[in-house]
Amino acid sequence: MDDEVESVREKINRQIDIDKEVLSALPVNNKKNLKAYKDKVAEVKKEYEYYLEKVTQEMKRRVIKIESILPDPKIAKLEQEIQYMDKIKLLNKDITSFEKMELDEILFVLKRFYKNNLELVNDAIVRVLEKFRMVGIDLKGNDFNYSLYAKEYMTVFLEEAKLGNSNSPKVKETFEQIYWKCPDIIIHIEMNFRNLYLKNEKVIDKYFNTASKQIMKELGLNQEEAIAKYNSMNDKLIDMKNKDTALILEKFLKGKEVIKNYEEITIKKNYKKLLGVDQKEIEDDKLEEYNSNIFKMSNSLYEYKNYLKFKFIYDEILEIYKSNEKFNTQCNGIRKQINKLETKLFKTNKRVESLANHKGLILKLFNKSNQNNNKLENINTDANERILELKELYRKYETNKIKSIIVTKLNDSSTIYDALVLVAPFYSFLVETIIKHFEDISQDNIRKTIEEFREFIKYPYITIINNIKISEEKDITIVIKDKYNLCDINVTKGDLDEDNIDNLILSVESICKYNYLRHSKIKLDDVNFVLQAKKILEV
Amino acid sequence: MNVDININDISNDDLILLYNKVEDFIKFLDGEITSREVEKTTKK
Repeated sequence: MDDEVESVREKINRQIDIDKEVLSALPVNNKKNLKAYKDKVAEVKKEYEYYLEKVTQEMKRRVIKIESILPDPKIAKLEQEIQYMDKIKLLNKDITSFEKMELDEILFVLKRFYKNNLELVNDAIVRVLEKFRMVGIDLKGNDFNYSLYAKEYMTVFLEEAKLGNSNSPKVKETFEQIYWKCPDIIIHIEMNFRNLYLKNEKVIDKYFNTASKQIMKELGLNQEEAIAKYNSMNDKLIDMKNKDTALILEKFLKGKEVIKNYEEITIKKNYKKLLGVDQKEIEDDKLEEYNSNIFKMSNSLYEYKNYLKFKFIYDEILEIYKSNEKFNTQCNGIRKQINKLETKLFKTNKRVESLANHKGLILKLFNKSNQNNNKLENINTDANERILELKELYRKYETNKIKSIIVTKLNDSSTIYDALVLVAPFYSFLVETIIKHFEDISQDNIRKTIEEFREFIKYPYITIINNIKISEEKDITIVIKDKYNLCDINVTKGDLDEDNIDNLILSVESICKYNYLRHSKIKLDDVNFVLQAKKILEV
Repeated sequence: MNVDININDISNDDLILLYNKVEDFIKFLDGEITSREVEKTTKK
């Protein structure tokens, strides 16, 4: 037999057949012969086991070689640089220092305390205190003058937090004592923090102005240039990660990609679906041009799909923008009301404090047999009602502030993208809009939705919604369909429907990923081998 | 056993195939050792 044409399968089959025949010729008609037969079988088995060991070693060698390809170190470096650039959000002139300090996000835990546990609330209080410290304001017990209960709790809290345990038994005990007298204690603390922000607003604004100037000096860029650089870095990172051999392999090993989607038959089918012709019939130059347009289409589809996903946010913005209400005037009015009511509140609190010393008062509050107790209880009830009134005013103020920003910063020439970018930093606006749209959504899903929205906003390949004005009524599906039809890619309006777009994305992405693999340092055969070999070697 | 296959030079697919074939045969041989019984011949 000519060895050059005999395949490996044929060679091993032939060898096994030979050994089987040798064994089958041995007699097994009595015990002695049976033993001799089994000894011979054992001998043959040993030879094959030795051979299997050599095959296994070769498998391991090849797997190690393929897996030894590491991710491009430039990727990690770029990720670090992008993380450093994250601070450019402090350069944003459309948000207040309240958002730059992330108070809107952290105080949300206190705002919705009934959806969290005490430990989470206390952790949030620690973060708020850290934020105030960061801007140069070291809060003390006396700063918590919204109510005696707030002061009592925060005095103990600050002492314990200094010792490193903001969730100590002492804190929990103090909470337990206060809560039954004042179930609104967390509201008191939240309002107190909001008051402290407004009280120190000028100082905090100055801190962030200085920080912004420092950042621009460090980067050597202004806000627009910094954003452009940030986008360009993200663009580069996405591209590098898509093309990186080690990262491509990792996706297969983790089950995020499957071999089936990359097989010739699948790729051929997808090209035929999009281009209407067989891939093999297209000249190389033309195919590269088609591939380039298919890549762009993948970006367009990602953008459009996410626009649809977050359209409810855009609709909310548009409604506010078109309402033409004078939110700014309302805001100023509410702020004046807050100031007035807080002045009364603090006056009352001071009067109560001066009636008795702090310790004696608390004892009186908790000692039902005291004659003055009724008077003090009434004062506290009044104070609590005032605080609840203030809570409503602060909520209204926050809502109107953001609405005022929407109405003043956007105009008819603003794009859909401008509108989404504008609201992205306003945590409370996003939460309220999400809850309005998804009534029973869990806390975790609210957080996840916001993260995904903010991630989408950072996408560097946005080209559609940053070219459609909020004053325009454009059918985006037609815009996309026409563009890619002009590039000889088959896509219908129906393909872009919410129900069908995922199928289209699968076909398009399959071709993109196939081409990333094609240009990488490994082949599909190598990936398939590693997957099979690892299964064998792990057994 | 003297199969003329250069393990280092064969393709990935052939290496996997080789492993599976050899492993299957070893399982067969195992079966022969553990469960083969005396077979009385009827022929004279």
